Amino acid sequence: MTFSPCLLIPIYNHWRSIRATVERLAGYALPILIVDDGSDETTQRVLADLAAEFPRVRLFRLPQNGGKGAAVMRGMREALAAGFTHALQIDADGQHDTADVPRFLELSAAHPLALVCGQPIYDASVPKGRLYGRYITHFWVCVETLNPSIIDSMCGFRLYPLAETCALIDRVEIPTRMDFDIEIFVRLAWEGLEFLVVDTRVTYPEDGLSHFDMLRDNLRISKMHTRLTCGMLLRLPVLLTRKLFGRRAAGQHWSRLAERGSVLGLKTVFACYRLLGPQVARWLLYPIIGYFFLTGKKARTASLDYLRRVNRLNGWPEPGWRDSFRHMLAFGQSGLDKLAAWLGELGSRQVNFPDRPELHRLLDSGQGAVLIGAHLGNLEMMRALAVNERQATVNAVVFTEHAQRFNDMLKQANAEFGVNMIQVSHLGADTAILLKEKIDRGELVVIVGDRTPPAERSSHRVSRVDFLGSPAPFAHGPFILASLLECPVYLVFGLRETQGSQPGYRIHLERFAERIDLPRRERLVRLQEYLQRYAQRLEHYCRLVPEQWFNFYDFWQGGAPATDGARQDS
Amino acid sequence: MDMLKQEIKRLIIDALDLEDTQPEDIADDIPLFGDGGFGLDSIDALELGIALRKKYKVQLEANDAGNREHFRSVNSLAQLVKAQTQAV
Repeated sequence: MTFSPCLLIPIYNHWRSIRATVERLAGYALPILIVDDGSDETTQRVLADLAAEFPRVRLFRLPQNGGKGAAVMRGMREALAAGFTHALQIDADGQHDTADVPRFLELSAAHPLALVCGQPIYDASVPKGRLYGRYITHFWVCVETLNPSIIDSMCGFRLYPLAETCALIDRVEIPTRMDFDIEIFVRLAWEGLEFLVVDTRVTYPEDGLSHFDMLRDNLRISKMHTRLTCGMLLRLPVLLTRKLFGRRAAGQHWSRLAERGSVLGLKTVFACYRLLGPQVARWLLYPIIGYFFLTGKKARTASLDYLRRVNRLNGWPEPGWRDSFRHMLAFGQSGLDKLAAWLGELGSRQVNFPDRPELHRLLDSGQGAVLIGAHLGNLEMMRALAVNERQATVNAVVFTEHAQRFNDMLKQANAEFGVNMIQVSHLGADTAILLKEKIDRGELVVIVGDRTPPAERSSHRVSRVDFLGSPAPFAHGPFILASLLECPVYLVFGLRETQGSQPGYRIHLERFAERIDLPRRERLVRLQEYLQRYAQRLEHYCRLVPEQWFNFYDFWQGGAPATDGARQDS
Repeated sequence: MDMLKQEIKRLIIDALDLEDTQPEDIADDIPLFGDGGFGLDSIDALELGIALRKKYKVQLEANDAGNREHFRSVNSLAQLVKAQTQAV
């Protein structure tokens, strides 16, 4: 790709400062495209003189004032038509430091597909009101592009790759007033353009004429952020895929994504959590979970079905969509809590562990043990806690690929996290051998008992046992594994206790069996018994904290439907 | 080696309680797991793993992606067992 840049200056009545700007730029031996945005006669005269004096200046004129964006877009189209590949936009009012031009050009030549953005370093001349406004916009742009980077979206000193940008402005209508710089930034981010940054000094000239109308333009900008945020939500899947799988994968399918969606959303929230703090991350859960709530019909149906069953047993009123939304929100929140735990922000004071003596007895015995948990509350608390707990080694067996990605994120938060994570796509002979070695060394192995792999849901590897009022298929796998490992078996549940900003957890550790014994001949009967006992305990805890059970699929698999009540309102 | 393979087939049958199967029914190179092979599933795999460990003291490198390959067929299992018993 050839690299052929030009300079582009939109101008509206800045006749006082334009000459100085052009004189400074003339030294760069680059064509200077000036687009007159319907300026007054004085400005027109000044521009005509400049064009006559500086052969590099090419002048274009919009007959009527169309706004800065209109002028920039006109200039970009002219530049592309004239054979230029890139345009460096500079404000006419002298606020941009033209000495930085070579740095933009160097970066762009090395990365011709990137948008090179000026990152303003303000001096004392900047009005405070503008600065605060910038912070607010900056937050919104982070939300809209799902990119919590520190790139300034408002600085009009930036170098555009013309082919990509013109393709965008030909396709969508970009507002042309003060909102132009931000909107095109966000839209190019949606397009997947790479963004690079040049730090540059920005001065507000004392005699400078600013066309920024405090009230009108701020209103305009607020309206734009509302629109762009909606646009972000619509594009969320694509943006998130891109974040996770790189730009190229962005065109890949949807269905793969829907599956992982919640985790992908969490990744974004994680980034915000670390950058902007827990409170902002919690706010962000609302639009993101809201999106999955609205688009994830299966998850929604499954959630309602489950909540109906629990509420009926608890004698509570029929759940509505709000309860279902809260259910999903709780899932997002538990992800944030995991992060907090591994960032060390959830101290042991917030984790209540009344069964601690039970754990100590187990550890003192030197025996390994299997801890069977559930997708209830936050099992992670157990492991986070165990790191400080008498050197106990707790191994978690994690199955799915998307959990792996999720866990990779946690690993970034705390290197300790990955140490005893056993990630398997499915249980195999190798897993069994490894786990047996760990048990023999006196370590703990945590596994969940309430997720039936899709392939097994209708196979002979499940038994239907009563759960929340009707039979549901529970997988044999975890219990057969526990029996093969020939060690004591415990149940473990970590329930979130408080709401709001101070999360607390209570961990329940119950002894389940000294050994799970499955002699061949009575195997199915015995499995059925163990599974029923497990399901009963799970039910007990689900009834305590209904919103914390995170299985958003048809768990009962065509077992007795959730009831008559369910039919009435559906 | 043939003796060892025979022994492994017997171990598979016993560990998984495959009543109607004879060692001859298991070809040396048939994939043991998954569709299109001998058809064992992941729970069979757990049991087989533990049985192999008990009988041959098979040990594996932690979380090595290549581990699964050892359990592909009777042939690969025989190689694994042979390598590990020789090493001792």
